[in-house]
Amino acid sequence: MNGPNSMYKMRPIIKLAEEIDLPKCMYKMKVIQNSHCVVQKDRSTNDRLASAITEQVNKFLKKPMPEVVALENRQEAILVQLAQLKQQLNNLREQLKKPTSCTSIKIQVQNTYKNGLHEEIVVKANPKRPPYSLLALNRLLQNSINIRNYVHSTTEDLGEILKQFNKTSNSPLFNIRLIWKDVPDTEFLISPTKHSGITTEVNLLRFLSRSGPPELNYEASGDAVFASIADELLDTCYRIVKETTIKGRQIHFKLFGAALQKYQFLMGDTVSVVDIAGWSALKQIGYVSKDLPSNVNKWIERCNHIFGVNVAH
Amino acid sequence: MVVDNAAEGSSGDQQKSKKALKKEAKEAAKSAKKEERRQQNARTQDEDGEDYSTGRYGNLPMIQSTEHVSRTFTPVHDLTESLAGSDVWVRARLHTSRAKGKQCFAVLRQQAATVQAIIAVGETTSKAMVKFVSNVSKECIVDVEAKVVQVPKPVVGCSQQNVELHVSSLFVVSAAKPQLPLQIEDAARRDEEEGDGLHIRVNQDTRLDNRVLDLRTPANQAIFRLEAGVCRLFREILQSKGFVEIHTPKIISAASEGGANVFTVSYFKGSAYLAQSPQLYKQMAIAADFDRVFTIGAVFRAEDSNTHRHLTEFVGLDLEMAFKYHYHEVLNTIGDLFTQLFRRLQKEHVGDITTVGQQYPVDTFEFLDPPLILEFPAAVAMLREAGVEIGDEDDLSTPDEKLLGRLVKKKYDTDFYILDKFPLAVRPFYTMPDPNDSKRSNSYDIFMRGEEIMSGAQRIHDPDFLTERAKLHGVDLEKIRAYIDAFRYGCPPHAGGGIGLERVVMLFLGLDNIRKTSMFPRDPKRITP
Repeated sequence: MNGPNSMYKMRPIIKLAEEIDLPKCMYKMKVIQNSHCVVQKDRSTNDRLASAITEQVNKFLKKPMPEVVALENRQEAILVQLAQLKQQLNNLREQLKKPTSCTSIKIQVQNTYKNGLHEEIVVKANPKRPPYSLLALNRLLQNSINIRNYVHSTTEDLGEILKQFNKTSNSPLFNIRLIWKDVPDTEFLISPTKHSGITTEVNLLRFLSRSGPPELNYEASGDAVFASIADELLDTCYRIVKETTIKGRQIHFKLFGAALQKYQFLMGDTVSVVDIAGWSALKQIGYVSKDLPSNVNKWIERCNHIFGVNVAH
Repeated sequence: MVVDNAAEGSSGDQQKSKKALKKEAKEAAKSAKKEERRQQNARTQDEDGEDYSTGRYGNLPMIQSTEHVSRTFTPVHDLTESLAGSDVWVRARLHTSRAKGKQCFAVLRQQAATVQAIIAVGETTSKAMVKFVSNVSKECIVDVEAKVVQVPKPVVGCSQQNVELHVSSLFVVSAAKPQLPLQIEDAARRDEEEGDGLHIRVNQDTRLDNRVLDLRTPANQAIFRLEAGVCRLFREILQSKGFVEIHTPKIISAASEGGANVFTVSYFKGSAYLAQSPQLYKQMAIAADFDRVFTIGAVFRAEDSNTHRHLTEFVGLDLEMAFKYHYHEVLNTIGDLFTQLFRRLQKEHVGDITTVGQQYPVDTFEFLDPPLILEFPAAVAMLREAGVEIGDEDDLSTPDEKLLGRLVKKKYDTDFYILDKFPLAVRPFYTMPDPNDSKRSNSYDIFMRGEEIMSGAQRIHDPDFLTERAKLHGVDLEKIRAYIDAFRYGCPPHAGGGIGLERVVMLFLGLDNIRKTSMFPRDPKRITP
């Protein structure tokens, strides 16, 4: 306790026999700890010293030490604090589970912006498959996405699409530079030195939903099953865009239909990122109402209304 | 005659050494032998019988415009299957020729187009004619009459792959020396590190020493056609935007910028300088209410820098424009100028770009519309993220510029971008400071493939403020009196910039040396040809 200088000796706990009968089938080895041998030699002196120290320690231990008392007190205090923190965390969890209205998103917007997602996102998109989800997301986030459009030199003039995607925001949550180029899938990149590009529109949505307000983050609830269903549906949205035959697409539409049997939207009764992705996918393929199951048709109408962008396809 | 000369020489100059005499004797013997051989040749030809191809080949007398000949010549690049079966006249250079028994294969070249020609012994073509053709040296200009014939297998190595010419007559219009300082084939060889082909290259200096020959390669033909295109489009686009072309003096009395790097020329009893930038005159034109002006002309820089991108004389394309309230009006005009320029170059000069690409393989120039404008702090942040140590008010070093170019290319997929809001400290005294940040300025640099091509700014148009800024920079007010006085009678706010034609062409095509895009480059070590 008081440093290495004032350590006390202890009596050996086990007394060894002076002579040990060693079996003959083993090698003999030199004793590695030479120092141990030295100790054994002047054992008698040590023994005396040790007994004196032991007595002292015994005396000492009978009184309660002030340091120990202080330590105990501190431990108690910490435990109380931990309990408080746990309570706070639980409260927060409860709050997050509650459905929130659009107004609360606005408050979160500022927070996230302060948290530092002001880094520019460069999105490359194919003009044949415009990432309409950006428009829908912008609508949900009350125009807090800044989109600047650029046409890549390998691509011809786009005309109308450009105007739809030109969005300016005064307090942007996301700064996006949208480059129109003949890419096979939508791509995005934030830092050329730290990251490599990530492809597909649904992955872009996943990323934005994580860095955006928690209401849009389907993982925020901590419910793994819920999150994995959302992931599955997001992948379905990607497949719809990639599928070339109507028949193939209808299989995926049925999955949507099944998800919409109980709820108004794909992931419950509120709009989620999955709805954005699905809506964008259907817009991109230029859906025909008669190919869709009836409840999907109703859902897409609802989406059109909420996202408010009547995009011609 | 030779003997006569020798006799005269010996009588005239007794000092002539034995060696020289010997040499003369040798030469005399040589020419005598030559004469003998020639006669012998003539005799054998006579023995062969009359040359029935006479009049179908030979050296034409020097064309001195003695007569009008109405003869239609077909350009080589027009020789296609559609002309198969017809007889054409072609004036081209003999690129290569190779005799093989009774026939001779030749490649005729006209600018970047090449076509295979065959001269074979036949009804109208004699052996002597084939021999004559096979002895015509490379690079001679020839007039050829021939039948266009479609070939079953495409001719590899010629630009006109589907047809060949069956020659019926051939005349040499202008002969080339049999020995060339460089072979056009070598000079036109594809620039590749790897590969199985020949690796003979022509040194840059050899090329420049024999620029006339070097310029005949398809790539060089294309480069300078494209360069002309840049000039033409620069004019066209700016004129459509309401700019007026002006011409500024090249002999000036005082250095317009700094003063260290100007050429001095003697001017009667005193001395004058060669203009290193038309800037002062552009600005005076603005002060004189021309609103928007541009100029294309030679610019001189007495910088002793031997790099791949510096010349001592180059063609400057400069523009200056008055604006209403914000210099971004000008910046956007410049950005749009470049976008249009690149788009039209890629559309109208697609053939030239491919031709250059065949010799110098490089990625196509990519850009965004509208052009990407980054602010200087953003660029510094990108560089810092990549591990470069750079201060907020430091200028970019050349390696930093290159690295930034690569980062921007990776992130934004563009070879062309504009960097706005440079630190005030690294800009000349006449640059307008940023109204919101005293450390920044209303100035911009424009980059292509990571190299700076234009440096521009909003200029200070207020004489008093200009004087103040000049004092701060320690500029001698006496020397810039004329410059400041230009603004004394009212001047609209204006901004502008200038680019170097050669540098833009070099970077647009992705070439590695500015000497490749200057027809007769001038650098500290070369003022010829």
